[in-house]
Amino acid sequence: MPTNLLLRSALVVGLGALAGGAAASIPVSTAAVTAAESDREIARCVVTVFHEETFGRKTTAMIHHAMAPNLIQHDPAIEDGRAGFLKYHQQLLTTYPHYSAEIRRVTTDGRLVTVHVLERRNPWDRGDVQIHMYRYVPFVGIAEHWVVRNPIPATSLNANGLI
Amino acid sequence: MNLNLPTSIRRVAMVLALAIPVGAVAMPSPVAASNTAAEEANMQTARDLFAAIFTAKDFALAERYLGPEYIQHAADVADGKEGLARAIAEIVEQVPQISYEIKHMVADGNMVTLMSHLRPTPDSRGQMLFNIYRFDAGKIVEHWETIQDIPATSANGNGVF
Repeated sequence: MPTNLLLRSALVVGLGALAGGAAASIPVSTAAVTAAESDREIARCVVTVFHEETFGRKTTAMIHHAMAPNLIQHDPAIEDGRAGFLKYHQQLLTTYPHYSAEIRRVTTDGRLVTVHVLERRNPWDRGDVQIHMYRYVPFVGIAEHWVVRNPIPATSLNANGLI
Repeated sequence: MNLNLPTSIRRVAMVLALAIPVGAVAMPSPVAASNTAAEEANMQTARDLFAAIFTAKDFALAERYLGPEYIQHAADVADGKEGLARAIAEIVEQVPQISYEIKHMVADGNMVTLMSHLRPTPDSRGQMLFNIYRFDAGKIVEHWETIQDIPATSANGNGVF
């Protein structure tokens, strides 16, 4: 486990807790952070770091460290398990060497984590908007994955952007 | 008093460290989400909006769940409440037999995300749909979505939901 990943994970949780506590008072009092809130921030942190590391920084570190080997895969394009995910990741990045993905928002209840992403397979593409959902199991890791991909259309009936 | 923050950091470290030798760990049964009362209320409002749009197909009913503004990001729907009114009219005209099933819901503060199965006609394979709603004071004020036709074949045997 690269130490910098762990530090960044800790930082994300720290920032999350700070953001949650900042409304109450400064300096931050964390007395109000319940176990459920803490579990939720851990799930948010692990999945956010996983997705950013895997599709933003394009490494396999978090696939090995945070994904269960028997991952249940629902994306019709990907085979089951960690092995299927690794195969998909390698094919994607080999086919599209300039691939990029940007996380725009994350929602979680502590069990399911959704990640709203703008993906560009090539820098010149209009891109895809994706919503990924991961099931996070404490002390196991990422255990299940769903995704819906939506190509960004050339035109829209509103001016707000798809993401 | 200020020990909770280091505790959560340690727990993350623990989680990440323990995630390494997971080979022998059986998949535990799903843990129920722990939501606040406001999050539960937002989820119910999202369910009610879906029922108003796709079952009742009634904009006046749908409007009860919206805030003063409704920022639309779905490309095939115009901005604001008028856009939703027009979209519901199109459902009535074009796909009156539309049906849906909400498969997953995630509530997080002022956001609710839903994953659903949408069937424009009863015999269609249908589409998989994610919707994200932002709430303000219990009312829906912003909407994003992604939608994709369910393919005939899959690289896994788990279904798309």
